[in-house]
Amino acid sequence: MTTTPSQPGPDVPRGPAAGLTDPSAYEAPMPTERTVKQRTNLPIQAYRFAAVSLKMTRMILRSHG
Amino acid sequence: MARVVVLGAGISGHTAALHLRRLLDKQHEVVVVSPNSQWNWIPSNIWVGVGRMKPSQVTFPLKPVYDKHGVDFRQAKAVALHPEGDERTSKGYVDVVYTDPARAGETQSIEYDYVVNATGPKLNFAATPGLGPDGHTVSVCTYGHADEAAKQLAGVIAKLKAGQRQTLVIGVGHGTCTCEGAAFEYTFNVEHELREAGVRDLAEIIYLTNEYELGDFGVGGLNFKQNGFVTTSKLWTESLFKERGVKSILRAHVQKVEEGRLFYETLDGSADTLDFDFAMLLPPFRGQDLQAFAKDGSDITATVFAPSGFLKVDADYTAKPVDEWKAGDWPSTYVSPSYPNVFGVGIAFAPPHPISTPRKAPNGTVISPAPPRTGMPSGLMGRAVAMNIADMITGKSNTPQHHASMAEMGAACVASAGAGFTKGSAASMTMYPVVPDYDRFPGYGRSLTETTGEIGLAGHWMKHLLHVMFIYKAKGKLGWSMIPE
Repeated sequence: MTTTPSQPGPDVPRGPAAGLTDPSAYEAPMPTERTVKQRTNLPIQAYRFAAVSLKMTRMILRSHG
Repeated sequence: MARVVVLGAGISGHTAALHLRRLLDKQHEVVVVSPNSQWNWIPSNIWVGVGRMKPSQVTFPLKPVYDKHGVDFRQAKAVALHPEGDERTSKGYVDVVYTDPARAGETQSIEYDYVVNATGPKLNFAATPGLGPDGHTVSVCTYGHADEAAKQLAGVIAKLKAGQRQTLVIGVGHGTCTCEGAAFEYTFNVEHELREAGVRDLAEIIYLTNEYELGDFGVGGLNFKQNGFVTTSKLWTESLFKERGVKSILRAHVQKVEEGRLFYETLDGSADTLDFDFAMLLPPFRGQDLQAFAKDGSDITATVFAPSGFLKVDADYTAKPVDEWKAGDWPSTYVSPSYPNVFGVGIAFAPPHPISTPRKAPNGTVISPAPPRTGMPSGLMGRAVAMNIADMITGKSNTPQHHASMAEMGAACVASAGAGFTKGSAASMTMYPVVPDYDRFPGYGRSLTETTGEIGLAGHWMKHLLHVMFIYKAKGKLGWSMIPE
């Protein structure tokens, strides 16, 4: 939800600021509880660390010519 | 005997200096001119800014490293370039003013055979009235700024613990800023710290940015494969904002800041104010105040430098519409088109155009990110220029043969989303190339194999590893040159 600008007077309670998007309005999906837990699961993350390291190494080698 | 003068000792300049020293015999001189006595691993300033690290953990003194490697370090600020020399010398030289406390204010002219401008950005807080540490907001651009930000954040947390609601605005303080990735990192590190302190529910966190969409990061966003689909960094980033309850204001230009209130406009022509208790807003960058003079003393600053103050190099600066942008517009040797012994690297070179699509509000205000050129690309440029200069000095070639175009290199970007060995997280991203090349990679402009992204604790470990590894490398310790840029 993107709101329209508000210019309240001094005594009028103001609405949301122009362009302010509330988290509930983002179109992106919310990660499941399982996904969030996996992001800090030590064995899974140890595996991901190795995988990310490999990806980065491959890209770095390619960039270094 | 040749003398190479490197102006600046950030990632690009320091990398160039160390490689030059490695590649050149001791008969040749390598001089580094930098106004700062300390080297700073800037990516970790984020952790200083939330109090997780001390400034001493992200810095070290430059002089002992340069003494060890035989680099002549002069703590001074470059103020003028004389690429043609003058009536008394045909050699180019640079005027400097010492910032070293022992010689403060003393001026000197340093002749060179080759000069590398790696002076980085001028933090242009003045572009937005009231912005910055001398105004009403904090910054994490330097370790000193970040330390002050941490102190103010601690005050906010104390108020939250006392039951007072607080509004925190984090983002960019001008429509033409770059480094949105740093603002993103600080946003989620602050959010993480508030959760750790048990006060998240009383805090409203607003990310304010000049990006057209979340996940743009000044590189026009990314596409990568995930679970059998090609997804976007927009969706990926929005999902994190949703999960962590962070509000956003996109497509915004901050007009001015007063105590506890900022004034902004957005791309659709709206204007509004936003009250805050804490604001970390990054400044726009421009080139350092470095002038250039011809042999006869006439001012040639506009010839050597772009209006933004960045050094013109071997880029195609012809103004053209977005759909005519090409990878070949981007420089690859970073040599000045006017002077073959003058180079500009890192943030100090003038990019030919942005990477994100440029946009203007109805009143003409530019609201779109400038292109980032920090970190790995900066290091690669510094190394390529060092190799080219060494080759030309030793007679291996007469022209630069080593290339480091941002349209032909990738970048690894690890954006912290919270510190902690077991509870931290970061977005680990790779992109190849940094500047999209739609001829080589039709459709998305980048390789879908080499462009990746994921969030998790592994990213935090990776960022910490990079912190340790690059400080080790920058100290020039055993095997430093084996660590890639």
